[in-house]
Amino acid sequence: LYSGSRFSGTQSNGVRSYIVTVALKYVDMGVPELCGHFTICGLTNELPKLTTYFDAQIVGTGGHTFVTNQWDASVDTDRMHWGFFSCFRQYKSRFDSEHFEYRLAPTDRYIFMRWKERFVVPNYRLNRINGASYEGFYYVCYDRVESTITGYYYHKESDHYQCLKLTHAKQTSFAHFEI
Amino acid sequence: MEDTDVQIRIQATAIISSLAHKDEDTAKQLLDEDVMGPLITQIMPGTDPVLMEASERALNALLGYTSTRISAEEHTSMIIPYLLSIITEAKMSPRMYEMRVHARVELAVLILGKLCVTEARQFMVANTGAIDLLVPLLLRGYPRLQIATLQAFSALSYENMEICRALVTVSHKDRSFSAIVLELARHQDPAIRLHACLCLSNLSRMRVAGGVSHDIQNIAVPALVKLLHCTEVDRLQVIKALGYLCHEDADIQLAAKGAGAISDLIKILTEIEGQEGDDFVDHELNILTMKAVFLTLGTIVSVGEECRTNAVENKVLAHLVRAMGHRDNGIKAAACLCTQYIVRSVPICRTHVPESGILKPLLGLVRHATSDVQVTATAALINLLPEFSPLRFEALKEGLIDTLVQLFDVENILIRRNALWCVRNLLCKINDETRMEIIDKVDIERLFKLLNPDEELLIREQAAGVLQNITAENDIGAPAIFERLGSERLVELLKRMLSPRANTAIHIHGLYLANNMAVLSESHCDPIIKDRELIQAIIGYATSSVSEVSIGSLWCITSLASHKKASEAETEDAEEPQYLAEFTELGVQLMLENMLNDSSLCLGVRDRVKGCLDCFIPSED
Repeated sequence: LYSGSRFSGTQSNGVRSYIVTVALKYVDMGVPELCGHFTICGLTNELPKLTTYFDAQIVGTGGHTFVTNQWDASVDTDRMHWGFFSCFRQYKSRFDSEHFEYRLAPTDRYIFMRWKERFVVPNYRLNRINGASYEGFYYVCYDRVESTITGYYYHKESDHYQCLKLTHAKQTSFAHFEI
Repeated sequence: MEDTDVQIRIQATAIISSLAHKDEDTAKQLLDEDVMGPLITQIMPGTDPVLMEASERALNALLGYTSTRISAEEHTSMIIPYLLSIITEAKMSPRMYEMRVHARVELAVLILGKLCVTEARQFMVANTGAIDLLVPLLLRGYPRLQIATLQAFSALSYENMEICRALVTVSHKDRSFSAIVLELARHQDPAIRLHACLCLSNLSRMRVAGGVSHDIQNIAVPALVKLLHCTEVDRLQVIKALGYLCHEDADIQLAAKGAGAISDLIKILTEIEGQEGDDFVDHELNILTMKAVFLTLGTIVSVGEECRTNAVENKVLAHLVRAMGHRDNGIKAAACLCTQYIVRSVPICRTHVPESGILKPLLGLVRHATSDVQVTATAALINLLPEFSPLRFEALKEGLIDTLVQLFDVENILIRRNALWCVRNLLCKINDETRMEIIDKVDIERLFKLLNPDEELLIREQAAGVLQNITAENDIGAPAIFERLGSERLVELLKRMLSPRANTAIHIHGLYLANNMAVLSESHCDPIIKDRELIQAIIGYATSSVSEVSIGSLWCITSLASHKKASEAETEDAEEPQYLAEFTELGVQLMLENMLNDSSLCLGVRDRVKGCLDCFIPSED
């Protein structure tokens, strides 16, 4: 996970699959901050390619826990969606407990995140798109060993269990910017 | 003042006091005439109380200016014991409750605070036991004395971690110093609240507040925000205090936002802008206030996205654009600093900033302003040039590259550094045409010279970053460098960047420059791998304790090893690295295998080691 890295793969609901690419625009695990562009192809006729800006809540940092507590996601919603990740199962029974503490460590293999799309790129004033919604969010797990991202979209009115599977687009030459 | 008649001496002292109050130059003149000595003598124990008080007033007035406080160095050790004896004597005196006694103690405490302008003097005062004498005065219930004591504690603890640590361990009547001051931060007297908050800010800034940090957030921050609207205190001081408290503390910045600091500060800007044409307004004060507001706003939004978003929602961008056209350079510079922090946000850069019209005035300041303004203007520009910013292309159309190149030759090192940093950010994911324009105008030779060991480190770091980014993710940058420098000087450049005398940042840029060059083609690899000293340096960094350096080195080795020998015979069924012999001789594969067995390696390095080792395993057709 670094500024400029790209992932590509698919989002599917079991019936249809869409090609997805994610470009991380800025990553600073020290703050922590992670944001990028999420592009999905073929979702609607109006917009054969839809790109949105998203930012991430990284669980175990900055006060973010497995409990979402927003975006219409209940604890049961959290339990169900995080439960799709086998690496989460050790926490499933206690993640919502008052005494449960989870902190992301540099040696952790998995990074759990929530990705929330905020606006359409480049026309950020566009609020509604026919046939598409970005009002929900993704439960995401990044596997640092395999460099893969798996995610599950949740919005109370959308198809449930839309699954995101992305792999890292390997790079061999590297730039570096700083703000 | 040498007269034996006390009344005459009192009158003379009063005249000195009036003269000292007049202005700084007069006070300095008096100091030059060595008026301090006799005044100090007149506050010795046993002196007539009226004369003592008059002398204290004169000393307090003389020390009312920064320059005179600093100049009073030679008298400090003499004056401190007398001041403490005034406080001690009054404490023991049954007449403590008399107003005159209070006045003398108040003046003594004020003077003590004014002396604490250097760290040495802070320690001098603290080591005399002043802290234990002053703490009880906080509970005296006499507002002026409490204010003077809080001011003294502020000055004593300012930017002094050791004294701040000592303060948090002090207690009086089973109440800690922090608890006493927290309570004073909720006092009905606004001046007491303000000075209590200043004391708490010092503890917070030195990160010694410990268990009361949360209380400081919940009490001092809202107290200061409310004081912004209070006419009984100096608003400028409140604004500065808020900025000081919020510096580099994300939690306190959020607390400030929650208390309405951002919207209130922006309202002050609106108020001042509305007074621009008025006659009966203190415009000098307005200028100072506006500057302080921008600096404090910049501090509050410096770390967190929520605070930046809140500022933009409160229309700060329009104020910034107007401020960049202000006649006062201080305001321009402060507005640029605030801009630098606001545009650190990717979403804000993508949404509100392009529509704000900020680019043109900012570029105007980058080009034509005084150097103090150019420093902050170029710093703000840095954050508008990464790939995610739509203003990048607008700026290029406005002749940005030529502007930046001109700044490479200015005297001010920060401007030069910032100009290079702008170029570095601009090169990330830029199109080939612009990349070539940058290469031609910035000039590889110039970058080569900027990496001389005798060049300033700030400049070398950015020049190294520019070179890395020239060659990244494109096919034209590496050949351009190779062509312009030639293989020998390229190797010399890389050796300079990877020299042990260079710092970590330059090592990382050097390793990725070598990687970016090597991955492109064998012709670029050859000079790197054939230079023993260089390749050994690259390999040596693989085992660096700094993971970013290690990863850079491993990528470089991977890129060098990625070039395979062309199959010579049709029956040949495996490809081995082009430079296998060289790597074997240098023990690279063994080093990588050993690293893989090292359980202490972080995930990122381990992953790179595996990727690198894969290059040494012949691939089957």
